[in-house]
This record gives sequence, structure tokens and C-alpha cells, in this order.
Amino acid sequence: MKFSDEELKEVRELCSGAESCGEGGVFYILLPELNLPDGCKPAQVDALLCPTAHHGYTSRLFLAQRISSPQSRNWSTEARIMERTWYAISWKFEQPNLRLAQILALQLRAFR
Amino acid sequence: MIVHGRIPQQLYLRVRADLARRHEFAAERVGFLSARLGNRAGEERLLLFSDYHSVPDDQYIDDPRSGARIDGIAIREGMQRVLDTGDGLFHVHHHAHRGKPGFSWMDRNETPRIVSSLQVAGPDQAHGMVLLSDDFCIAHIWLPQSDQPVVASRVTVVGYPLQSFDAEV
Amino acid sequence: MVAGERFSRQSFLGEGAQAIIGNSIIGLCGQGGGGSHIAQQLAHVGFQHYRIFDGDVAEDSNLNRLVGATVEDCLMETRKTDIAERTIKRLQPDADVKVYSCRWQDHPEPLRGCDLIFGCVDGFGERRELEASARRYLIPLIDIGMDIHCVENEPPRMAGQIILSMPGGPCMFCLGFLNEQALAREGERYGDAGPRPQVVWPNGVLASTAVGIAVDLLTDWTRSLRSVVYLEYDGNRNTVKPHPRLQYIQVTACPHYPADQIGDPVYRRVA
Repeated sequence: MKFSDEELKEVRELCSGAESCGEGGVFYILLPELNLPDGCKPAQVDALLCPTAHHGYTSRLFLAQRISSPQSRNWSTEARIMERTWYAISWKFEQPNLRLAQILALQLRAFR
Repeated sequence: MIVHGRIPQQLYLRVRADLARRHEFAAERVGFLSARLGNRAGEERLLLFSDYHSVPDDQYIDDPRSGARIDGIAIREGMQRVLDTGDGLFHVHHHAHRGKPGFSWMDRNETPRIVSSLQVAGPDQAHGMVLLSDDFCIAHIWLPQSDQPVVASRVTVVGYPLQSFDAEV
Repeated sequence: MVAGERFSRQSFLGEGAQAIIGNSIIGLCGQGGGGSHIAQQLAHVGFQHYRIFDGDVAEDSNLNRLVGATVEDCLMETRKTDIAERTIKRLQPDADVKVYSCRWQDHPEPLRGCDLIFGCVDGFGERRELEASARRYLIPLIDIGMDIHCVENEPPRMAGQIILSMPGGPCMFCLGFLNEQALAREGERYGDAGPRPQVVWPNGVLASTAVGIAVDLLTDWTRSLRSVVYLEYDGNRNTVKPHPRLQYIQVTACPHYPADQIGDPVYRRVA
């Protein structure tokens, strides 16, 4: 799946250091020091967005560490991607025709 | 400092096939291999070759003192490739004999100048030279910010069969 | 490496073969039923350089298949990596055996220095991670695994695989062994895995086949190992043969691990 330059630009507006990469045929976006919703500790963390299907999820947001958030979440996944260890919660939603920035926003909603 | 070089077999065969082509006046052909460093934090650093770039026939200089001499355009194109890709670049050529090859006087004096130019274009990558014989391969590597090369302790051609060339033979 | 009488019975591997074997650096990820077999066989063959990863200790339920483990190991909770080192050193006292009592992901640098990796890990997700790293650092990976499925009103079905994942060649995704559906199913079962049926003899078949492939890959003694290796093991019929899927796979260059994704990860600025 290809994403337009416009969509990628929208992601950069949310995270200025956003960079893309690929592994195993999967496209990822690295989001260094992504700002998390209020109440999360830490408030910023490196994140890796997989905007396409990943092991049963329509998209996935991986974080460099398990964080605490206002609502307690099930940290179901520890994965090694791009030679780093990442953590993700169990969080699913439908995403027909969503733009990248919308996918990221919906993923972050889990931490409110 | 231990550095292992690894090159996919298909790439290795492509290099050999290109270097085996005759040139109008040069006794040898040269080319450039793109490479990336890996495992920078490990005991063994890795040099991973990813692509090959043949030097066009018209970028050779007719110099009877040298087996092969390339012009400034070839070097500038190499530097541009380093800038464009972020990869390191390795000058590669072949000596027609069996066994472990040795860099000639010309190799040891001229090629480091090419490496210096490449280092200007890409100071964060490794650059250097690779030398093939009919049945061996060695690599001299200038690591980032280094003005002296290290010899790859092992160069492995990754394919069927797996072929490793150890510098300490 | 001195051959002498010790390896005289394997001189058919060719002149120089024993030196190649002795100089090769082997990574072993997982020292369970399959990995422990492999470690023992590699030591017999004469491999001298090992990097072994497993975070577990020996337990009673392992004794039906963990090669080299003893009752005392279970009482003492001996680390599986230490059992492997002991097994190897009893055959090769001078071997350079580096053990890491953790997952390879927790200490990946030594694994990257290997010439060849044996993957004896559990699950599709673990295999995906190991293959991704092996591809990135241009290391051939030999994967083995087995499973026993209980089927209602029928005998259980025992099956396994041996796959040689060669950088540049078809990966496990290309071969259809890894796919999004299998990874998704495994993800859904997270936490419900429970103990899986495991026995020693299929591990022996898979491990022996894998070691044979490794020796051939390194020494080229058969001069016939030239293409994709994907073998399926049928434990009910006692057969090991090329997977039927191979006749439909035509991969000239793996699209999942292209040449521009080798080396330490590189990121490109978006927009």
C-alpha cells in the first residue's frame, strides 16, 4: 500500500522527525519522541507506526517502552522490528480509507 | 578491530562477470561496490555489499604504467552516488591469478586518494577497496573518520555454497 | 584444525572441509528439543565456534526430549545454554562456546557475527523476527520446527519443516510458510498457548537434516545444493520431502527483503 506525499506531510506535522522504513515487506513510520496524550508517563516516547495489517491488527502503534496512561491497557505484544524492541497494546478499530494521520490519531486515542 | 565482509553470491558473480570483460586499452577493469556498515556496536563489525556499479569504458585513462586508471568523472560519479544513497563505496578490481591477491604499488598509492574523496562525500560510512583473484577476495576498509585501513578478517560470499575467504590464510 | 583420526570417517566431505567446518561461526537460537540435538551433532562433526541463545532452564517436562539434560539438571534448574556448552565441550574441549542465557533479541550483536544461524524457536512471530535480522546482516538461516495437532476422532498429526532461508533467495514469506493469517492467528492465541506436545524423535529427524544441510552448504560436498530448501516432515508417514509448494514458487529476488534494506536500519525522511 502506498501513501501519498500529502499524507506523509500530515504525519510530519504531528511528529516533525517522522521517518519511513521497511522490513519484511511491511512499511513503517518511525515517530521519534512522539507526544502522547495528557496523563501519559512518560509524555514523549519513540514510536513506530505500522499503518497496514500487522499480525491480526488493521494497524499498530508500537512504543519503545510500556507507558502508563489514564486508562490501564493490556500490553499484549513485544516485538523486534528494525533491530529494536517495541511494545504494543491490544487495541483494534476499523479503518476503512483512513488517512495516515487519522490512523495515528485513533491509535493514540487508546492512551487517553 | 574485526570486520567481516559479506556479499550476496549473485552480486559477487555480477562483479566477476563485469571485471572479466575486455577493455579497448586497459589491462584490467575496475568498478565500485556499494556497501553498508552493520553491527557497529558489536565485536565484529560487518561490511555488507549491496550493489555494483560498472565504470563505463570512456571513463578510463590510457596509461601504460597502470593496469587500469579511471578519470575524474568516474570518481565524481562515485562521490555523487555516496551523497545520494548514503552508502559507502569500494573500488574493486581483479588480478588474474589463483590464491590470495596482493595490492600492487599502484593500488596502494592511487586508490587511497579515491577513498579520501569518497570520505569527503560520506564521512559516516566505510569506504575502501576490494581485490579479487581468480579464487579469492580481500577487502581493505577505511572505517568512518579513519585515515588508515583495516583488512577484513573474513569476506563471505553468501549463497550456495557459502564461501569464506579468511585474510589469515 | 587438526583432522587426524578423529574425523577420518568424514574425509569424504572433501579436502579442506574440516578446516571450513572448524572455522565457521555458528549461531543457535533456541536450545529446546530441536536446538539441543543440533548442538550435539555440530560438536560431533567438528564445529568449533558457537554462539548459543536461550533464556530457559531445564525442567522435568523437558527430559523427554532435551538432549544432554539430566535429572540433576532439572533439580538444579541448570540453564539450557549451560547444558549445551557442556555437551559441546565434552566432544570439543577447545571449542569457543559463547552462551547467552537470554533471548537473542536481548543481545543481538554476537548473533550478527555468525556465518550461519540455526533457528529453533517457537512460533511464527519469533521466526519472522529472526529471519528479518538474518536477512539484514546477510546470514543464511536454517529453521526447524514441528507441531502435533490433535484431531477429533483421528490420530494426532505430527508435522514439521526444515527451511534454508538464503539472503537474496525466497524468504519464509515467499515460501508461504509465514503469512499474515498465520501471524494473526498466533497473535489471537497469545496467552492461551499452553504446553505444546513435543517428543524427541521428530526433533532428531529435523535436527539431523538441518545439520546435513549446513555441512553441505559449507563444504559443498554433494555439489548439488544449489536451490531453495524447504522440506516438510510428515511424522505419521515418516517422510521428509520437498514441500509441494515449491513447484509453484518462482522467486528470482525476494521482494520482502530487498538489497537496499541490508545493514543497520536506515530511515528516510517522510515528505
